[in-house]
Amino acid sequence: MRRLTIIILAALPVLSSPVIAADQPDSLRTYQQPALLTSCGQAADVLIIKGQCARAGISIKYRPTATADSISDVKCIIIVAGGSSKGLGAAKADASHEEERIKKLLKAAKKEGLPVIVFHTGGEARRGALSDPFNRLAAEGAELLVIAKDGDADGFFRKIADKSKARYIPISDLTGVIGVLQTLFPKPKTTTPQEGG
Amino acid sequence: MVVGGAHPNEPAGFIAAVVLIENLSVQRGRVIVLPRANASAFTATEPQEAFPGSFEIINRAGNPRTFRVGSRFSNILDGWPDPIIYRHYPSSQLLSGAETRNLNRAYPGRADGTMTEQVAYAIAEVVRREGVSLLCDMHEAAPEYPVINAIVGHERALDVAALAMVDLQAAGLDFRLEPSPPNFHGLVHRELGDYTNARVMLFESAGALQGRIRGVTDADLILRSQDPFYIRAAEVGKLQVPFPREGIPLEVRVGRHLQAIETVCKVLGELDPSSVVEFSRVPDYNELQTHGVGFYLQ
Repeated sequence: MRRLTIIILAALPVLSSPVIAADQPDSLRTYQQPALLTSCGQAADVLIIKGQCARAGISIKYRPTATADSISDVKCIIIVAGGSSKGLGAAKADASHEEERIKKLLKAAKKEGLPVIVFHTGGEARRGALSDPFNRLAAEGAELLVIAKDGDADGFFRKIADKSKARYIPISDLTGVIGVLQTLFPKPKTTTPQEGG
Repeated sequence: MVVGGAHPNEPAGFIAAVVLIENLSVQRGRVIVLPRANASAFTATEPQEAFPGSFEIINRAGNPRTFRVGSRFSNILDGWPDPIIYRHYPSSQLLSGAETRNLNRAYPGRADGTMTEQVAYAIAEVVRREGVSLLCDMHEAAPEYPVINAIVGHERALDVAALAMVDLQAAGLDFRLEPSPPNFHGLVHRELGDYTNARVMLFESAGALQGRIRGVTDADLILRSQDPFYIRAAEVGKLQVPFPREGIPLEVRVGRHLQAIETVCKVLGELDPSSVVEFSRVPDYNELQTHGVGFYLQ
């Protein structure tokens, strides 16, 4: 009986959430560009996504302290979650100010029908008392979560994805980010004029 | 520009600089290497720390080569007496008196200041006059220190550091990315980032020599960084980095620095084609693990 229980418990997450392997994301919807790239918590992790977007050729509007007024020229929103006291200090924000900004941004995104993607790539270092309120706030407003596995050992993000029916892509480390971005934001197909004759 | 020896009690920094000098072949751009940034601090070790005065590495020819171990601070004979309180110029930040001889609390320095401030000013002038686009300062820190195995960068350097971190992880080396605190003054990444046009970053590797719980402090600790008290501390989860039973040998600490330098230079060229630096013959992390540091010393 105990063995059966363990098997059922182990199977539950698989049954309840649309988890997509990072190397098999064929079932993912794709997104239009440009994307607004912002932070929730002001950790430097947002710069990693910025750099990987540049490498993937994705057009972004990088606005680390974007507000509800910053979305008129974008077609989707990427939020990089994770708190940093140094980052908040540099942005001249405190935690409550940052949370309020993101709440308004998510509300505006919903009103405009803009999809929200959340990345959490900072791992264990971006979990805990400072980061988790930012992580939860961003993740609960997302339709897709891309999460480095070592930051979700306790299933924090998985549980949020299960509850909100958001899609969830686990990545093993930062090197997995660019492949996910390329899949989410495919390069537009160019048509080459056919040669005559 | 590569800086080693700002803290001569952190050997991985200045040994990495020496390996660069003795192997580097530059194909494009210029590389300035400063292996003994604080020469005064190489002339004494720290009182009551029982540091060895020197250590030896067997070079490629099979001969011992001796390197001095110094102090975190300039020799007190070059700055006697310390003030009770050190007031940093120009921020007026207050630190304990001995910090007046810490090069990495003296930037941006001043031409008519203390000897340590003059050294900081001289380095800043080299950066300004030579048009340095990227400055990497190499350090070591205690395994219990939170900013460790890290790249600390000024905000103008963070784009390069962030992508370098991804590439280093792809090479199997984990680094943390730490922004330079805007209100902590005197540090190379804060002040030379603010007072010059260079992108400035600092690399920290982990060495037991710098730690407070180390045991026997001898040349072997520098070379192998193997310490039973740190092994125990790692076992009970008290350290900020993994501390394997075989220690964190000099090859690992120097290898991390050199791999980081090569990687940030590549990323800099990718993000800013006007600052491309191309070089070869610098051993990477894996080559250092295979051959050892001495293989790359004359």
